[in-house]
Formats: sequence, C-alpha cells, structure tokens
Amino acid sequence: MKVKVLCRNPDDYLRETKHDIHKVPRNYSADQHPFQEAREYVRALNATKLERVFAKPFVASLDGHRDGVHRLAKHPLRLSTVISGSYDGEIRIWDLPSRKCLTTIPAHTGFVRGLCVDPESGTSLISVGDDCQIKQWRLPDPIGGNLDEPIHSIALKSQPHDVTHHWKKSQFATCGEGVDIWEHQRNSPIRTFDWGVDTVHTIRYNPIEPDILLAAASDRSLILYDSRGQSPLRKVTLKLRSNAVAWNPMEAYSFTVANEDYNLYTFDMRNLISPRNVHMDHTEAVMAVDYSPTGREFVTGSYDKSIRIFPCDRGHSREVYHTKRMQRVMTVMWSMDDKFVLSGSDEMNVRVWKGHASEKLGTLRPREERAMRYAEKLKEKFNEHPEVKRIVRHRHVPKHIYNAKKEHRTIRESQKRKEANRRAHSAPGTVPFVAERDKHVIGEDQDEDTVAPVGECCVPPLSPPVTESGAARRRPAGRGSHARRRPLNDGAVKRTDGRLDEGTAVALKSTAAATGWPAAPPAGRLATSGRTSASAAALCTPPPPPAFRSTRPDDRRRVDLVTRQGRSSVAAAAAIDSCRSVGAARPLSTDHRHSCSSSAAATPPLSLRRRRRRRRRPVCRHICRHCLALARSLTAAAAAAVLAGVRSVVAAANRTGGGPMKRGARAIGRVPSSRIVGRQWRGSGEIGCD
Amino acid sequence: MKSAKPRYFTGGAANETGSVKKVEATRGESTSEGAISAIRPKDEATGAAPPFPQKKRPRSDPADDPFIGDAPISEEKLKKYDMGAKNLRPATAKTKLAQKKFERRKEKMLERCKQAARAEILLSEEQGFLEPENGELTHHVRQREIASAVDISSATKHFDLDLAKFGPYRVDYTRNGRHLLIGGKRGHVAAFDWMTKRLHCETNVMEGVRDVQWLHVETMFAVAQKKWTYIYDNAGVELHCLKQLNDIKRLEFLPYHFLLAAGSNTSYLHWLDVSIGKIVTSFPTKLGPLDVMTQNPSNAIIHCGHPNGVVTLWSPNVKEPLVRMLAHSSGIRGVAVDQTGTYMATTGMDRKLRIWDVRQFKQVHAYKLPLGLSHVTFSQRKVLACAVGNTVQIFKDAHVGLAEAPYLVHQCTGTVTDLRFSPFEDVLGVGHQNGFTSLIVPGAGEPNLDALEANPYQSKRQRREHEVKALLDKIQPELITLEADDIAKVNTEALEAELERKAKVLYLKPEKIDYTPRHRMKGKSSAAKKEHRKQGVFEKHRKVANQERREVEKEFFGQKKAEADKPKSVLDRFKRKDV
Repeated sequence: MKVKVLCRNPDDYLRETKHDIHKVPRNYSADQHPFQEAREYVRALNATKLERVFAKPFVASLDGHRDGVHRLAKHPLRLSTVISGSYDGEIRIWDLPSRKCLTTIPAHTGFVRGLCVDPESGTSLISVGDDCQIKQWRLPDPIGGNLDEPIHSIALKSQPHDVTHHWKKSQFATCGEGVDIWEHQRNSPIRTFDWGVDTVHTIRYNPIEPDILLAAASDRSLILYDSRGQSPLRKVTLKLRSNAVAWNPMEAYSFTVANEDYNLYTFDMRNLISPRNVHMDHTEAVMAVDYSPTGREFVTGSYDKSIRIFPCDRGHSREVYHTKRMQRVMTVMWSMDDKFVLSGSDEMNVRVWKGHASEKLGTLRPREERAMRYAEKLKEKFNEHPEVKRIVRHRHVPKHIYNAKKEHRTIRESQKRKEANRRAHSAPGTVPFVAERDKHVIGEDQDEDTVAPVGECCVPPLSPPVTESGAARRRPAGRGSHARRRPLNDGAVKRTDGRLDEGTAVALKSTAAATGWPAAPPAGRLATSGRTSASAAALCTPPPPPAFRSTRPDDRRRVDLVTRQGRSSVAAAAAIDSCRSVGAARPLSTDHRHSCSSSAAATPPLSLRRRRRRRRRPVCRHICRHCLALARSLTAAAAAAVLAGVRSVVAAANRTGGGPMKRGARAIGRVPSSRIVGRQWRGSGEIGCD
Repeated sequence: MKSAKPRYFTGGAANETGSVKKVEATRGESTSEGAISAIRPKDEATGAAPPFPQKKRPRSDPADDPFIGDAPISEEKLKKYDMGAKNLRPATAKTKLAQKKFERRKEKMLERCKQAARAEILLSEEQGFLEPENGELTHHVRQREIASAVDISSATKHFDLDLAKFGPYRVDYTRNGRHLLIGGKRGHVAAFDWMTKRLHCETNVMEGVRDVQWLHVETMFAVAQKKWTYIYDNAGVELHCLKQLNDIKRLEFLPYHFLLAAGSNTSYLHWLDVSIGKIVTSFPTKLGPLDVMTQNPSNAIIHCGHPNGVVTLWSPNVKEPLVRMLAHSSGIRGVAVDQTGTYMATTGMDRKLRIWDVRQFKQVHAYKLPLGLSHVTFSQRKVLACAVGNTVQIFKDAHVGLAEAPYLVHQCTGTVTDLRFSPFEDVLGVGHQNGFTSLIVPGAGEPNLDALEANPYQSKRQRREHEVKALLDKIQPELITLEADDIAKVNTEALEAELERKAKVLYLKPEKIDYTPRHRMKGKSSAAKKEHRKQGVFEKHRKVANQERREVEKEFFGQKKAEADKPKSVLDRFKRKDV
C-alpha cells in the first residue's frame, strides 16, 4: 500500500524575511473561484460609483481678463502655453502649470476675433480684431520682454471674423467678407475667395491635408476651399447657421460643426449631403467646438452655459461640465496632451477642466494603473446593466438645462407622434421615414462659375445659373426631401402638392404689389394670420411664383440683382408694410404662437400685457417647425434679401456676426438686454425663431 | 503494510526544495556568466568597450530547435479552463465591425484559456492518495497505520479530543482550513489552530449549543445557543447577541454574500447580513424543524432536508422553496453539496445514500448503507464521508457510481454528530458524542490553493486586507439565484413576463373602482352632481384601461384588417358576431 498525504512545506508559502513580498500562489481552476460573474458585477458597480465619486473635473480658473473671453488658442509646440483674447481687445498668454498670466497685450480695440499661432516655428502669434487689423506678435520661448508692439500689422477694409494658420507653410487665412489667404510679411492677400456670401465668420485649416480650408458662413453654409486652387470647392447649406468648425486631427476628411440649432454635425468631407452623425444634448446654440488630439472626442461650449464632451461617433455627450458662475461659453479648447479642456466664457474667466472627470492627475504607480485598467474593462463589460448604466449616465445639471431638455423631449415626442399619425392616416409610402441626420441639411452646391480668378476681388455675377446641373448632388426625389431638391438659388416657396404656402401666397401678393410684378393667383386656401403672412413676406420677399419665373428670366435676374446688391431692402420694407396692412385687416389667429425675427415688426400692435404673457408661455423655445418650414423653403437669395430688409428696418443690427442668434431677436428695434455685452449688440439679425 | 515505505514521503520536502533552489540559483549565475562571456570576445575584437554591458540572447537557429513553437497543450486541459469561449460564434454579429470586434474578443478569451492551462505547470503540490497493491483493501487501513506511515507533520493531523462530558459536538473549519471550531451540546465552545494545536479560546457558554459557525475571518464565530445566537471573537468575548435568530438549529455562512443563514427549530429560515448586522429575510418554511441544512457553495442556495423525505432549496428572495424534491421515502438525515455545485448527496432513514445532479435535479446513483446512516459531507475533491452510527464511512468516486466498498472506515467512540472536511488538507473532522476526532483521508483536499481566495498561511495584515477586499466585493443577496452566472446572461425571463402580463390584459375584467365622491358644500353635492363626478372618475379609469388594452390588442393581433371584401348586406347584422 502506498500512501501520500497532502503536506505543504511552509517555506514554499511564507516569505523568508519581512522585507520580501508575500508569496501568492495562484490556482486558476474555476472551482476555486465561485461567483465569478456576480463578483465582477459588484466590482463593476463599485468602479462605476467610485468614478462618479471622484468626478471632480474643475481644475483651475485663470482670471485676469477684464472682459468676456472670446477666443482661446493652443500653442502647437508648447503644452503649457495658452493664449486667450477677450472682448476688450486684450490678449493674454497663460502658463498652465503655474496658472499665471505671463503677459498681457493690449492688441485691438474692440473684440479679438481670431487668434492663431504659427505652428511651424511657434514663435509668432497672429490676431485679428474688430478694429479691422491683422496683427502679428512675437511669441518667444520663454515668454518675456516687451511684447506690446506687433511685428507686423495689416489694416483691412472690412472687419475680419476669424484667422487660422496653415499647418505647414507660412500662410494664414482670414475670413470676413470673403476669405483671404495671406503670406507672412506681405501686406496684401495672395488669394481671395468668395462665394456670394456676405460674412464668413469662422475658418479652419485642415491639419492633415494642410491646404484644405473649411469655413462657415452666415448664410448657413459650410464651404470647403483649397488654398492652392482658385475657387472654393464645395458648399453645403444647413438649416441654421454654424457657429464654429473643427477638423478631426486624426481623420483628414472628417470635421464637426457647432450649429445654432443646438446640435453638432460631424461630416465626412467626401459626402456632404448628409452628416455622418448628429450630436444632440445642448439646449441652446453651440458656440464652440474643439477636437481632442486623439480625434476620438471633442469638446463643445454652448450658450446654455455648459461644456459637453462628445465621443465623435456618438449622438449624445458623455460628459457635461458647468458651474454656477460660468456664463455663456464662447470658446473651448482641448489641450494637446489630451488631459485638459479649457473654456472661455462671458464672465471673463478661462477655466481649466479635466478631459476625463474622474481621472487621477499625475503619474500612476503600476499597480494603480493596472487597477484602473481592470475597472475600465469591468465597466465596459457591464455597461448595459441597468444599474451600471444609470449611474454612468447620471449627471446633475442646472435647472435651466434640465427644464429645457425636458421641454425639448416633449416637443420631439409630440412631433414624432404627429408624424406617426400622419403616416398612419396617409396612403402607405407617402410619408416616408426620414433619418435624423437627413433632416438638417438643405442641400449641397457645387458651383464653380461664381468664383473669381485669383487675386481679383470677386464680384458675383448677377445671375448665378440656376440649372438642374447646378443643383447637382441632390438626393433622389422624395416627398420628404423637396427642400433639398430645389436649387439653392431657386426662389419659390412651393409646396409639393402644387399649392403655395398660405402665408407665402399672401407674401407673394404683397410682394407683387410692392415691386410691381404681377402676382400669381394663389392656388391654396388663404386663411392666414397676419403674423405668419408677415413673416413669410419678410422671409420670402422676392420670389415670384414658378410659372412666372420660368417665363420671364429677366425678372428672375432682376430679383437676383436686387438680392445680390442688397437693394432689396426697400422692397422688403415695402413688403413688410403691405403685410402689416394685410395682417391688421385679419384677426390674429391664436394658434400661431411662434414669431419670426422679422415678424414682430409686422405684427399688429398688441397690448403690452398680452405680449408679455405670450412670451412667458413655454412654447416654441426650440427651433420652431413653422419657421423651419419657411427656412427650408428659403433660398439663399431670399435670405439675403430678408437680411437686407431686416437690416434696413433694424437700425441697430450690425453685421458683425459672431454672437449667437438670440432666439427671436424678439422685438426688432429693441435690443434684448441680455445681449448687451459691454459695448454692442452682437446680433446678426438673421432668420430666427422664438 | 509497515514495510510499504512511503515512496512519496514528503517529510523531507523542505530539504529537497531547498536543494532544488540552490541548484536553480547556481544555474542562473552560470547563464548570466555565459551571456557576458559571449559578448566579451566581440568587444575585444572591436577594441571598444560598450557603454553598458548589454544582455544579448544567443540567437538559436530555428532549424536546430527540436521543439518548434509553443509547447502543445492538451485538449483536456484547454477544456478545463474554457468558460465557453469556444462556443462563441462571431459570425452571428450583425455588422462586420461587430463581427471583427467579437472575433478579437473570442481570440482573447481563447488566449486566456491557453494561458491558464499553461499556468498549471506552476501548481507545485500534488494530491494525496492511498494506493492498494495486489488485493489489499484500502478500508482495512486504520488511521494509526496511516499516521505512522506518513511524515511527522502529517501524522499530527490525526488526533482525538476526548471531551465526553460536553458532547455531542458540532464542528467547523475556516475557509482556509487553518482553524477549527468545536461546540459541545453542553456548552463547551473551543476555537483553535488545529495544525499547531494553538488554542484561541475555550469557554463554556453555560447554555446548550446547537451549532457553531466561523464567519468570514478567523476572529469571529457564531454559536447557535439554546435561546439565541451569539457572535464571539477568537478570544471568546461575546460580541453580539442576535435575538432575531432564536431557537436556531443549524447555521451556514455564505462567505461571498456575508450572510449567516440560520434554520430554526420553528421552521423559520433567516438570512442575516453580518457586515451590517441586519436581517435580510426571514420567513417560515412551514416544514418542521430545520435540523438538516447545508449550502450549495457554488450558488449560495440553502438546501434543507425534511422528515417527510423532501429536500427543499431556498434563496432569500423567494418565500417559497425554489425546488422541492422528494429524495427519500423516509426522513432525510443529511444533505451535502459538492464544491462545484454539481452533485448533491442525501442520506435518509431508509438507509440510502443518494447522489443527485443538482443542476437537473436527477438522481445519478444510489447506495445502500448500514443502519444508522445520518450525516454526510463532500470534500473539495468529491470524497464523500457518511456517518453510520458511531462509524464514519468514506467513499471515493461515489459521485460517478464507482463506490463499491468504502475507501476508509473509522470507528469513533460515540455516535457521530457532525462531519466536515478541512479545506486544502487531507483531513476529516468528526464531531461525536465523546469529543472530536481528526481523521486523515488521503486525496480529500485540494492540493493547490489560490492565495487570493483562501490562504492558510496568511499573515494578520493579509487577513485584514483580504477582509476589506471581500467586503468591497460583497454580493448582494438579490443576486442569489439557482444559476450563479445569471447576472451575465440576457434577461429573457423579464421580457417574457412582461409579454405575459400584457397578454393577460386582454382577458382581465375591468378593475372595480371604489370611489365615493367627497361631500361638498354650497349645493355641489346634489345626488346628480355626485353621480356626475363619480362617473367622471370611472370614465377616466376606463379610458386608461381601454387605451392599454387597445395597445396590447394592436401588438398581439396587429391592425384590424378591414372586413372582408364582399359588400355589406343589411342582413349581415343577423350574423353571429363571435364566429
């Protein structure tokens, strides 16, 4: 008989001296590790909770500016240097580790509109301001000496709105009335681009394909340029204006735009007709966007006084930052080491936040790092479990954001319901499903004829060709895409069923009266309210009915002429006037609760009390679909005309752009007090809604 | 027998391993020397000394390598560590990207299996055994023969505690198998490190003791006394008196949930969370005194045996037994579940020992044993011990039906009242009428321990750290289910239940609403107005119910199609509606 009994030698299991580490024999057999899944779940839950516990994103506030911060720029070669420009024209250079302002440059009078650092040498800084100046500053390493005098400054005829530097060459681009490409040390632009837009308010060079430029214009379009070429490449028009653009630093072809309609859109440059992703979560206009250097995420700043971080392939944000004191966020920046996010806001502070709210700063010990990675993996494994999901998603947001979100949800649901009802009661197939990402783009234009040759100041031709080929890259016909099918310069507001919009018909009639053109007989029933008709009139001043347009090309040209030259203001005013009489003659329909930007002028006088009451009513704080319907059917020309008209009516409105469209710009001629930021009303007075 | 010199004598292991170490150390030096000498000639040739002595591995010619690639791993081993990775089918993923991700994940999981299987080479210990030679029978071997044959330290594992005054005894080992707790019916409670025989405490609680149970660490234990249950520390100081647990017969501790399960004489089952000191659930089973009770170590379900031959399975989340199985034709005397949660052994008054597959609730084997069969227990390696009167019969491979004769037999001085195998040791602790006996059962314990789960050699600091970690990983009692990995599965039941509930809506009678309008002043409570108000409320409820009903109808039957194409006749109204 042989016998063996388990007998362990303690020396194999105990450390020899207390300076040794403990011996940890392992046995990976599953029998030794019961409840593996349940324990992992508990760990995942704990890790998730701890993540929320440690989520303290606010790092520091860089204060010193004496006015709201309008622009932030990162130094492409130095991690610790950040440059900020404010409303009062002051530029400050900050040192992040010490959180100190290294120097202050009184650069401009008026806003600092744009800031960029020459990425090649990293020793010069270019700024543009409201004083119509491009200035180039020294940026020595380390920062020191007297930096108050610019190396170079160029006076411009018109106000610049943004500046961006080429990533490889010593070139930079400014935008404003058109886009200019500049060379260092030269006083005139080497190239000028224009595409029939009055204001281009933001522009960015592509970091990978360094000659490609992306700009957002105030006619709601995004324009792609090639700085080597002679003409803009492509242009896509969204429903509302884009406030900021950012290229993905890792994917040459993708970029994200921050839009006035509270959303962000990520586009693939190769297919502009529909954005690759729609990012929703902000509750007011998004003012700024910047990518993380990894290209996986971007940070956004909004007029709703919050900052959000979105993964670039997700529709919703993973993080929201806010503080009680932070006001409207005008600019954001993601640091080059992917660790920090900076924001500049109206109340004069630059804030530094962590990119990952619960991340531990400083170097991690190997064990710590391992534990973090393990926790990360666990969270990933169990992220679909309701409890884990709930904790991960939970964020405390200020009341105004919370309420606005709730309201938007209600509105979206009701729209959805309505659409579903319509679908249910229509013939099958007549009300197609439209993907969310197809809802926000009006159309793409690829029109090279409008472009001037190099070096010339472009004057757009009187009548851009409005051919079907000009409206290339349209979506296939479908009832949902009627707005897209129409060329951008096509003027008629036409419903697909052949009838005119009610308001439009009146507008047309009145327009005809004002301009002396014969009005086409409106085909639809004309039960209109004064308000809608007035807004429609204001929005759609010039477009003659299609039949008329097709028969009289000369008149069409005249319309274009009027719009292009900005002479339509008279016509628009007349239209508004005539509408006012129309509106006054008819009873005010109560179910049109929205008001468009220009409609207030045309509204028959209401008692003040009633006006106030209406404003308090929680309706239509979103993008009003009535307005959208109109905006959708608007043409660029009409919009320009309206703009001109509005401008003539609203003396106060200047064309500075840059500020968000305050919803409604409610009473024309009366500047909303919240908009008065220091010195001037930064409103563009465009199509907006209440 | 005595001449059979133990070939696997492990007493000299210390010296042996020491010498092995030495050899390794010298070998290590020589290789490093070799590496340096390999570099030096080169340096001499070039004449320039390198800035740092770089280690360069001599590159072996792949053609010379007789064992190309990684060492092969047997399929059996891979299967052992495979937790289902092989069954994953990435092709089922919807998109190509998802497929690729899935594939990558599967690869990783397979790699994990491989790594775990390869790590088996690091398991240093081997299991014990008792190997008969030509016609010898293992059950003829007596304990003292084993003790005399094995090394001295192993021999000390067989001992007897003669405590005839306080018996019969209940026994419990800690999870790491290091400490032993015994409790005599006459109030004698003692806790000690049974390997070194160092006594932690010994008291007489001056009350009847029905069961003893270690808690999560060896500093605390629970004692079910005649009236209430108490918690003592390892110095014998009373820490808590759990008055909620009164008249308790059996205690079980669920280490991963920090729950102390208790079965009472009055048929109550209690679960007490020892980390917060609160009762989690407590309900009557209504099945008589719960004196046969055990836990399933793999899913923390409590198994109870009842005098009517029924075994019931309980979780704290359901007040009914999860399973009720008729195991014997007469009363159940003992229940045991093995470590993996695969097999359950039951013994009954009908002298039967039955082995069940707990996953399917099917009997796999049954054995007939002598009269007096009572307690039963499984060891880590599925060795089965049964108490038969005052003898202990130990079976090997009983779960696969190969136990024709006992593996070992031992006769105690009194009736056996409790049996526990010591984890990670070849030892069976027997509590009986006259004290406690520790038996050596070669091949009973798991040879290789995982120090992160249970470490018999842990220091005080390690114990404390382990306690904190275990508390952080405490599983909530809600997660106790028949299948322990339910949490990682898709919850199809909830969906099904929801569908079922919806389906029921169609056939439910409208809910009766009991509403009496409040009396109002100023003529607002005339009979008509009251009735009007009442109807309004009813109408509201009806609307909601109808709405839900309609939705469900739509979901189940789809949109109602328009009536048949044929034109409607005036006579159609006389047709039967329900056809």
